[in-house]
Amino acid sequence: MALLKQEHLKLIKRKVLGMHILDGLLYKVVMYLLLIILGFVFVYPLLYMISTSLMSNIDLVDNTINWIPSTLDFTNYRLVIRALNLPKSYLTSILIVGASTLCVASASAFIGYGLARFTFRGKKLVFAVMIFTFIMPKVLFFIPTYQVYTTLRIKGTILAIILPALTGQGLQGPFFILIFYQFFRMIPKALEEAAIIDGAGPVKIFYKIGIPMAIPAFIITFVYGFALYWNETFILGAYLDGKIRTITMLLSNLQNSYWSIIGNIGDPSRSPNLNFTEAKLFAGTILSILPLMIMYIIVQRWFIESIDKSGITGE
Amino acid sequence: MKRRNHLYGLFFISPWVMGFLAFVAYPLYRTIYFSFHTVRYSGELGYLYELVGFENYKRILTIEADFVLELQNYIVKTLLYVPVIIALSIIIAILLNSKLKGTAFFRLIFFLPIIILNGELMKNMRNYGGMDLEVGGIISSIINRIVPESIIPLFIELFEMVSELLWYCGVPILIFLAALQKIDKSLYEAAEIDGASFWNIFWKITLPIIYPLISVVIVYVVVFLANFDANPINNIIRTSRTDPSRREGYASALSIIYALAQTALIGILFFITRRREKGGIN
Repeated sequence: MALLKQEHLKLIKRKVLGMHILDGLLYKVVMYLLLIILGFVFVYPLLYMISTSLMSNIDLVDNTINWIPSTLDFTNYRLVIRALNLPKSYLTSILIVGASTLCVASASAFIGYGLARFTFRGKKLVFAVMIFTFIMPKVLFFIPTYQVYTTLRIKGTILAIILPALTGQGLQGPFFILIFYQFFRMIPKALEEAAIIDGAGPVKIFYKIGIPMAIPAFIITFVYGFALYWNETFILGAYLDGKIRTITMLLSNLQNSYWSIIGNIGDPSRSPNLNFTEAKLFAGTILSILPLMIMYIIVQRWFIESIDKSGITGE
Repeated sequence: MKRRNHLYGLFFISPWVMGFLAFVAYPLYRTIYFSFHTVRYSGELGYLYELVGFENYKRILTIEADFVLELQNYIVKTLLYVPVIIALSIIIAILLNSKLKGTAFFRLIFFLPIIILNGELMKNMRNYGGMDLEVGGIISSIINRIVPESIIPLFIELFEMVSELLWYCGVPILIFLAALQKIDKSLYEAAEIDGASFWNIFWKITLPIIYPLISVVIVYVVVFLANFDANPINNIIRTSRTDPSRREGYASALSIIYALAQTALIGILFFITRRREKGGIN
């Protein structure tokens, strides 16, 4: 009897602590608890923003209402959509950001291929300079560039964003070049030699063999580059000079644009719901990141797969 | 053949060389030039430069306080944030790398900032109570059951800080996770058979393998925090450029001091972690 009990105890112990530490119940509970707590702390501001954005201004000042709005109120969204000039500004953003990302991808592929497949003097210097440009804050180069753009009358046009992107000097340019460099280095030498024997020149080899090998690099660049340009307000805002505004720039000016459209809708002093509050700001913020969220949900599988293949952490 | 190889290499990187000259080398030279001048603009004559030596730098560092204050803030903040971000990212990467069910979902969540994080989002979440736990709310009353009331403010502050920093952890988690996934699983199994505890495995296997990446993450985080649109220094430089009493000269000097401070910060942090790496593994 005593022996049986001991066996029993052992079994329970094994179930709780596991054969090895890594599959015991206790271990699992602790891991899940940590994941859930950290996940919650992380998502909390987003949830708070979503719930507040659905509140009317009356709910906002009501102390008894903390999380769940008394009625689902989409007024905030309706008004902010007008203030942000949606959906037109979505289209502008997608065009500007999409064009820039395309330029970044093609330039980075080209340059990365040169670094990966050819030996030439000064290659180490190129890498050193790339690290330097990555580390330097972007404000360091911005003032003279702005001046040059003004003189050349490029300021305020899409060229001001595309030119640096086309020469590998866009946002986080060195990072994208290095991603492509990693992929192109993996092409077997024999494959290249076979193509040379068949009479293909370097440019032909680049787009016949190189580009298909670097699909994951393109995916990373398209997704991450698109997000970077979408989120950038400093550089884009300065070079586009207010002539073209992406949604993120409009968001930073939401309060002003809100007051300029509200005059046609009603008098905020009579209907307090029309006043500008954080609920409006939150609604605008959510609308501005909505396209990115949708993109992320659609492409995340390929994105994460590509990252796994890239060996980002190598070297 | 070799000679042609050389030429083709240069052909492929020629866009980069042009971009470097136009958008890095020349602007850098001009920024340095501006910083020693007072720049004015007149409609007829265009830009006028007046050599003033170190006048701009003197004004920034000894007379006007706004930039120096923000710079100090930035340095202290970075020194505080970097270790916390690294610790949080390593913890989360280890959690996501475990064989638990549902990690794919959590990975989706924790990678979210890689895509959606921007200065406006951060400012709006932080400044309008998105990261505060309200006293007397549901969550703080749960915490209240576990810990005595006197510690609650501490918890609320901790919550706020972790909540913000977790948003900066996207790319660091990604870097650490990729490294963890490369570790040979048999290494863990061997350690387990030998009876090593979770704690031992962490210190003897996991940490030494991901240690070299800590320096990479440090560079990334410092650069990220410096360039982040919510960083007030960027705003000071931008408004100074058009401020009639400051203009381009003063703003250039600001950006040079900023760049130097940031480089020094990266250098120091990089050096500290590099040194330990040698001692740690051997």
